[in-house]
Amino acid sequence: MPEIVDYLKPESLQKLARMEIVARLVVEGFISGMHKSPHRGFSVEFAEHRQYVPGDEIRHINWKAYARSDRYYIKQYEEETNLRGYILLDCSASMSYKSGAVSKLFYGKCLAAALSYLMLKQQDSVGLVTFDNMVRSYVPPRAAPTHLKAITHRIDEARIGKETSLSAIFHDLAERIKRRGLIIIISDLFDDLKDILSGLSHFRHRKHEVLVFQVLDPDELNFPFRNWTMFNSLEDDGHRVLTEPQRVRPAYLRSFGRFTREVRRNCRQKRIDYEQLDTGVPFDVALGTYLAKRIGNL
Amino acid sequence: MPLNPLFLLWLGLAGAPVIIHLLNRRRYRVLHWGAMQFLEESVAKSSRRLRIEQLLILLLRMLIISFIVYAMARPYLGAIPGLPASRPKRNVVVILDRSMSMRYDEHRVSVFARAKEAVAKIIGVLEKGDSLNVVLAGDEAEPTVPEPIVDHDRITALLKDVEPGGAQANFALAMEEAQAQLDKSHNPLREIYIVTDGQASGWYAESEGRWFAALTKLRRGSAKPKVYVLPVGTQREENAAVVALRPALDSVGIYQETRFDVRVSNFGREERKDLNVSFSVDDSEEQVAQVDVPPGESASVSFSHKFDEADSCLVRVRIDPDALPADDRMTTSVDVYDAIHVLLVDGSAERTALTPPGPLELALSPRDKDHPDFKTLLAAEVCRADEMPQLSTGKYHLVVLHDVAELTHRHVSEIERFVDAGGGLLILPGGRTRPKAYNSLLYRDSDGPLPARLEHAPRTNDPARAMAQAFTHPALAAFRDPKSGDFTLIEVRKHFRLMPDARDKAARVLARLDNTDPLFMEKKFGQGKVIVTAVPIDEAWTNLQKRSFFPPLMHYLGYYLAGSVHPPRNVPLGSPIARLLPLDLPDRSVKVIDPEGEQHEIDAKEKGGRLVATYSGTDRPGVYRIEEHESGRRTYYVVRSPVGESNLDPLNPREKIWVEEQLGASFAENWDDLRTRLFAESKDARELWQLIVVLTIGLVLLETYLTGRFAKRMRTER
Repeated sequence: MPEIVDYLKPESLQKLARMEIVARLVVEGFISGMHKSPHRGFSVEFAEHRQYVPGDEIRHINWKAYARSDRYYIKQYEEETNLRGYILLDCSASMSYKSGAVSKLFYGKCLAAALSYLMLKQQDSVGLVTFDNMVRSYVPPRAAPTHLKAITHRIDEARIGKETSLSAIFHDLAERIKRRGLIIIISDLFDDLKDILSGLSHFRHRKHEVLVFQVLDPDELNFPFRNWTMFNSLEDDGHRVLTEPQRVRPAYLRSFGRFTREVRRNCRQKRIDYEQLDTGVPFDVALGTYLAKRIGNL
Repeated sequence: MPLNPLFLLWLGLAGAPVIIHLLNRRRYRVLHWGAMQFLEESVAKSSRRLRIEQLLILLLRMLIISFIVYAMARPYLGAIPGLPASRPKRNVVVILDRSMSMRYDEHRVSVFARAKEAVAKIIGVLEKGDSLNVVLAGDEAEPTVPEPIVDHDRITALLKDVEPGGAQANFALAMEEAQAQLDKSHNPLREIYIVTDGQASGWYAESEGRWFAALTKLRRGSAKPKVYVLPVGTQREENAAVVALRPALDSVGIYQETRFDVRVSNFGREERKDLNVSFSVDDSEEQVAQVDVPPGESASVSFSHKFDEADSCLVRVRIDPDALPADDRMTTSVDVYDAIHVLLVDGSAERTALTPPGPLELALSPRDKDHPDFKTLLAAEVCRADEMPQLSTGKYHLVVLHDVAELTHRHVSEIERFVDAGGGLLILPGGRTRPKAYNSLLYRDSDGPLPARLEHAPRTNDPARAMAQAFTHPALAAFRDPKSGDFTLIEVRKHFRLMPDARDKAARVLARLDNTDPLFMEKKFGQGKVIVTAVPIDEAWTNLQKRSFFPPLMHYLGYYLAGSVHPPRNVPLGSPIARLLPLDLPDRSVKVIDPEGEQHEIDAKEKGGRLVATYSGTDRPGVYRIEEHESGRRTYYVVRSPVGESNLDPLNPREKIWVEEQLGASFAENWDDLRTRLFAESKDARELWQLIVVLTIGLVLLETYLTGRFAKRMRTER
């Protein structure tokens, strides 16, 4: 009988069909692993009293206050100040790569589902955008617990698309999302560095908090190939490179390292949270990062 | 720089690293990959350097393999200053002439014995490790051991018992064999020594055809051997030889004076005066004649003999012996007939037993009323076409088809088998003959026995006449002199036009009419002969039968056509001898007695409906005898050396130049001259393989270093 924490391992979730269950398992596993309540400090909190005016709902009248002061006061909650989270899930073709049991997209989907569940559980509102070179689906943020079903349904439906165009999508969404919120980007960020950074800057310019999860496969990080290999591009049919990998490995690792370093450095400058995730890494790292961000924003 | 060329074939291995590299490139795995932007950048950056590194390593590996192969090919050079002296190993083949002319006696020692001494001297200068073989050059090239060996004593021992053969040497074949032998040894210095009496006849100089295989091999090989010709024996002054002995007629019969023509040639430089020529048949008394033969010329002498027994006989001729006794005698085996059985197939359907004999029958078997016992060698038997008896009985020697309308398929195939087995066929088409049937059955577009297609010639008012010719054909040679028979007296009013196929080399015209149409044509078919005439023996067509020479003409044609003794009794050296036996012979084996008196038992085998006993071991010239066990009947066979061997003339200067140029051969004056040359040529030679091995080791070390260095850089760059 597997422990619930086992579900934090991505390969275990492979067997589960529905993202809703995945989300629950991940988050419950995560929470039980922490041994302390994540609810502290961000439950629905009372904000202030205000005088009753006709039209207010009678059930919101604070009868204890009335008993003390003989005036009608209405309890006002913090509800309107709740976090609005947007999860941006990259479904471009490069996300389909997998060296082991789990593709980057599946990892991203699990992550998105888990984060949605966690946010909804905290009565935050959460929305979802899936995209490749254009927005494929959009679920506006809502805080209702039933909203999880809508989100996980869309996550389930998300399929591998075409090439990535992160910059255009980021600029588009930065313009569309009016209210400040938390933008969570789940992507491998395989695009032009300048364009990505300009898109992220746009979010920051709009006062959004940004959290970037760069999902990568261990192969992409280590380039462990040896014999002659024909690399066919996942995003561009007919684009291929034949090479002896062990000979180009040093140059590849240099180039890849430079790219991730630049992303990390720019994110830090722009106060964007950046986390590099390896598809072999359990989800608690990602969830922990999210929570750290959330706590930091309180 | 001479090399062992066979090893150079392995140079192809130098391509192995490239092939492995290309194969690896072809055997790639396919991977669908996302992070193309980083891969492309790194490939673009590193490809130039990688290519240079790969090329360098590939080049080094190819060089290493090439060097190893090159070292194994044992190259050598002239002197290299500073290199230790190491004489390359020799790969030597000696061609020893064992032709009949090597029997020539010079001061009581044969030239062949001197040649063996010369071979021993060549072996004497060889060093340990030098490979050697001796090829005996007769009509075949025989290596003494299957491949060159370094045990020189063994070769010397094997040569001790070798004697000259009876054939001519074939140096083209011997060179081919010598080169094959050289290819079997890996020693780098390739040398061929030809030890010969210098006689021109075995060289076939200027005959590109005979030398084709040997020269092709010599030109194609990258390492040409050095070829030295070492003559043995001094100038030979005298040699007379019997070069021909044959009966004047093709068929020899009993109780008839048979003439034998003998030819004696003088190949020496002085006239042979009063040379005694002795002739004998079997054990009969010798007839002796004396001839003078000028140098370089021949003399003919004839002897007559009357055979009184129909059997296989030996006719011998000998002259006074000289330094080369082997060619001072000649023997011929002759089958003497008591009768030549002729089957005359008459086309006239009305013929009965009472029909008087026609002119053709009378010509073939003349009768004398006053002498009922008179008979000629030809014995004719007449039948109608539809009564033709079986020919496979072996009774008949000759079949004459006179004015036969057409033949059945059975008759045609029987006649063909008869001719193919050595029988004679004379065809005289006439008024009844249907040319269409003859052409389709017997001519068959020159595949059949009929020498030419038959066509009716257009009739003319003026009769045609036969042309006078200097006949050379044996059947007509008697009519070269018009006194024996003037052919221009033959008038032809009507004839068949004989249309030969120009491509059919077996058919030829013997005599023509003055309108150029052939009168007689001949074709060799299988072992037998066929003659067709343009006219029948018919007054409406020709007056031939009225000419006085008509009966002799028919007889000569008969002798000629029936004279194919098959299998032949006189054969060249090396050709098999055979005897046809009756199929019902109870004991199917016969005894062969060779010239040394050794007996060989051979089994007869059925071949084409006949029983044939064949013996192939005729490697010595002389008289062989085949004897049947039951009847004790014997047949003589004579195996002859080629007549050309008697001509001892050496190669002329032009032929010598040809041999020098084509074979790259160098003629030595004598052994001392050859030894001086060998010493001068070999003392400075150095083998190079040690140097190449050192270089190869250097290359291997460099390759290892570079591979390690490139790998290390890859590791540190990670």
